[in-house]
Amino acid sequence: MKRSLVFALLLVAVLLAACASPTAAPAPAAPGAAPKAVGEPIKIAIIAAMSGTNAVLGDWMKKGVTLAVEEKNKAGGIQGRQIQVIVYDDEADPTKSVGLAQKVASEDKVMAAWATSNSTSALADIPIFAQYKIPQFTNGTNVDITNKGSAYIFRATPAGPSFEDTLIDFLVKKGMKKFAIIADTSAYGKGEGDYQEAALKRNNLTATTREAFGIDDKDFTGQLTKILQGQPEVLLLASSEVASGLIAKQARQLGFKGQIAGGAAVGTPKFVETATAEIAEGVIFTTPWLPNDADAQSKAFVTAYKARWNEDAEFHGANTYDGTQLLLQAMEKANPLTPENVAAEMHKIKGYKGLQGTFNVTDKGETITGTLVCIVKGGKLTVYTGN
Amino acid sequence: MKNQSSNMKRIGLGIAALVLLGFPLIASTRYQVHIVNMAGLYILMSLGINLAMGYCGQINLALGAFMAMGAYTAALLNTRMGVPIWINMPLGMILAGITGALIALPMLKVKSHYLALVTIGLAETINIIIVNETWFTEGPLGISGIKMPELFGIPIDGAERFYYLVLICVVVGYLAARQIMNHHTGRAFIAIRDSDVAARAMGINVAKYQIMANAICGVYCGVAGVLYAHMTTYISPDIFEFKTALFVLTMTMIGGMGSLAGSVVGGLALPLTLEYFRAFKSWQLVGFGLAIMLVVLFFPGGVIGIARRLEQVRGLRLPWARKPEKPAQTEASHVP
Amino acid sequence: MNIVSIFIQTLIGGIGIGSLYALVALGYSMIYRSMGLVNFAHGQIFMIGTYFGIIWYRGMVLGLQLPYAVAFILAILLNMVLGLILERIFRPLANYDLMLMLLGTIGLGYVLENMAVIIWGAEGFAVNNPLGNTPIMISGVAVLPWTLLLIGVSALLMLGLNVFLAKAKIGKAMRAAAADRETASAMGIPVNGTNALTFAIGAGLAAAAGMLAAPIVYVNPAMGAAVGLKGFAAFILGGAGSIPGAIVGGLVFGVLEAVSAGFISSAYTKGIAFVIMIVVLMIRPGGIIGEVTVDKV
Repeated sequence: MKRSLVFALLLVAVLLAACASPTAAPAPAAPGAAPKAVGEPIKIAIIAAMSGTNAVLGDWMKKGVTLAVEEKNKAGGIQGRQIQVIVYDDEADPTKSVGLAQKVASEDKVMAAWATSNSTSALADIPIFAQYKIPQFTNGTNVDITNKGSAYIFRATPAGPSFEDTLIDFLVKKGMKKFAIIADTSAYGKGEGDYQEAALKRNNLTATTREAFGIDDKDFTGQLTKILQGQPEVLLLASSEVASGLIAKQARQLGFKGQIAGGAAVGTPKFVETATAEIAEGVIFTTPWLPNDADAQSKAFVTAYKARWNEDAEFHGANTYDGTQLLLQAMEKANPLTPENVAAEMHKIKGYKGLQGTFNVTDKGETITGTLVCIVKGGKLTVYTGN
Repeated sequence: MKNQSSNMKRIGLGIAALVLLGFPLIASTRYQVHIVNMAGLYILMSLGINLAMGYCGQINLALGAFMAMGAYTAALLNTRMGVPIWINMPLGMILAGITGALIALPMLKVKSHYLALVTIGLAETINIIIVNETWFTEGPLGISGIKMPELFGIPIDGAERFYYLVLICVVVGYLAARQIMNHHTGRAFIAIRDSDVAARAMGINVAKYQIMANAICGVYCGVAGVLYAHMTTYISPDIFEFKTALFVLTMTMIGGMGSLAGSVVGGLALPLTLEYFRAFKSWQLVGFGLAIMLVVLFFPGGVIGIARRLEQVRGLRLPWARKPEKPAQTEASHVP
Repeated sequence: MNIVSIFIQTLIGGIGIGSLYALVALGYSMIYRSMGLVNFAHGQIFMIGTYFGIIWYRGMVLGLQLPYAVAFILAILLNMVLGLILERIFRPLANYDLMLMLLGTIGLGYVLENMAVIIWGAEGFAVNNPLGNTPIMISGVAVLPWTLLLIGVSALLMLGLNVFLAKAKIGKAMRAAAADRETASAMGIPVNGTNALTFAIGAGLAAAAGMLAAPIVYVNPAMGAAVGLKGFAAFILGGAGSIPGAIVGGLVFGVLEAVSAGFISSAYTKGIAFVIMIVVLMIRPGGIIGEVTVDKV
């Protein structure tokens, strides 16, 4: 017993001593060396889920951000310095995310960070980036993210209510009155479900039924059968791309003939793939950007994305690309180039035209509002142009 | 001879104490301190499960729920009423301890893997309640804006200062666990682990000690939860899912089930090792899995088991040459 | 829709997903009976089995696009081979301490899941339904042809397994080895061989479950964890080591989930299923059909 205590304490000593040096090993500069030498890269971190069920969100983020950065590097970088993207996997786990936020802030000393595509992890990271005064970007849509009083958080896409308000106002205008909601119990699903309910309330309506499910569920017969008893005209989805697709499929199979509609997650090729093109046909959704947008900027982005990643661009890739463009602009203007100045410059951006529309950064860190009503037609995501 | 070894021990303890006290000064970045702080929380939970499982033989996979009780107590009291950590800590310990005692009740009836499932089920149920009762717990989005603690006007705000708080808790927790094990309570735990039938025959109130072991386990996890809430200032239900319990069990196993020192070794070794291999991404977790399998198949006593073996048998015997002994039997029989 | 057809509709959904749980639970049960090993990596074996089949169907190997039925059989065979290898690795763990089994097999789960990420990517894909997405309407109740196939094939597999264990010579040997290792060994039954075969059958059943699930779920490396946990719940609920128990446990768990989602509270579905399960175990600590007492210490 006593011996093992000594052994353990010695082990503690060894581990701690070892811990004091290693992880930062690749950092080349000695403390005294000038860190701002021309040519030393500027670091941007991505913290997102690269494995697990949410891996697809992290993957899209990586692709959008990397594309924007590579284009900038090809054009000469920022103030003659190249930009380096460091990617970390937080497995959509807030505990891991907080650790990684500490890591990129204190070890990698990044200029800015994308953290993360999950609203809970983004919320968990906010205090850390605020403490280090490093700009934090997210494409999570939960409204609470920008309500925490941080001057260092930026949302590169409209907040959740922006999607659901447009969607429900449109459907109500079309004469729909009976809405049912099916939302998962994650932060995203529950948030979107709440925004849908709020938007209905604004239109003096209430959902006929609101049902919930766990993010791992695969069979929704129980919930859907109950929903169908209320004979809704519209089924509102509030969940991830994959679960939304499975629900749309099962709802149709159970004989639901009405309108299926949803927010950001529904407006993705992943949703169409999961639901199948046949079933996704006619599904209404809202998004600030579509891959087949007609303007030149979007076309250039879609071509570049396809060339770089050999896959079709979608909304999350676009909003992380947009957000990175904002960041690059702010970095150009920041003088001297410090994370704090970049954040300050971010707040000054007004009227930037990006893929998703015109960006006006607010004090709270919102960058854009407004979404388009869209529809799935022939397996493709298209802008709704009337019947 | 005896004097010499006790001198050696004193020197060893002195060096270890110095390193422990000076660590935030040696560490080159705050992140390293953060990782060690997290390891400290894991050590606390691991000590708890070691008492309940390694010493008392009670399988329990509801550690995440205990931690959640502590963390939510602290988060709710702090954000809604501004209660500081010093009051949240005892309250969180009490609530998590009660949860531990309640979860122990099915143990009196259900055994072995049936029990494993019951504890998983209870933990999941607690998690579902936290997710759904948004009016009270803020639901899946979690609670943010928890304040970091303050002591006599000095804010304990960075990871470096928080480190000392964690260190105190771990040292106190370790010494308390040792006291329990040296006390007759500890001997009762071991008697129950080895055979609850024999323990009962010896006049030990088995139910009482089983409930006690799990309540203590709950208290340890509750402390970790309270510390976690005040350290990261944000909690959400997904932090306390089943995987947290698995992680703690794994580190306890790697350190050595049924050895308090094993908890310390495992709690430090696993998070730090994983950190070293982060760059290998998915391969890191493949390696992690393989390491667990190797430990289980060839070194079931964990690191401490190896150390003890090396001590006993100076001549280095290869571990696979021996018939594996049974360490820390969780249940005497599979079916009641 | 009247209340009866609503109930039947909900029930069919529950039986469909319950059949999957039952097949997974059978895998747990087979392995537990023979080796006394609770295999917590079974969910990941289910996932690997799904990939083993789907890669042929989707033309991910040499561009070969085989029919679903062929892919189904390939999945079972490949996963059985995996089962044989795994049995060899875990042989020392048989009849060992539960905690060690738990961790050892969880370690295996990590390996399998992350190998899948490395080989096939973390993102995953949807598999198109070979029988189409149009349901058959039977007096107001909608049933997907695939659901019928799923229930039918599961039932056949379960029946086949029972007949095999009861009638075939090797099946009897497996039962004997499961019941009493020493005696069986003394009677000349190659215990290790029958154990290996049992493990392989368990893995094969998992692959079958995966291939039956693939067109109605979404295939990715993370798909195993949830199914593994629910399969484990079914295995325990029915009575560890009991073949009919696993089937009953799976169906009960699936139906319980669907009914509580449709009739009680969908937000609390999982909680209700677990609470009922705990209550059942409190009343019957050996599971619903807990007749097999494997006492191997």
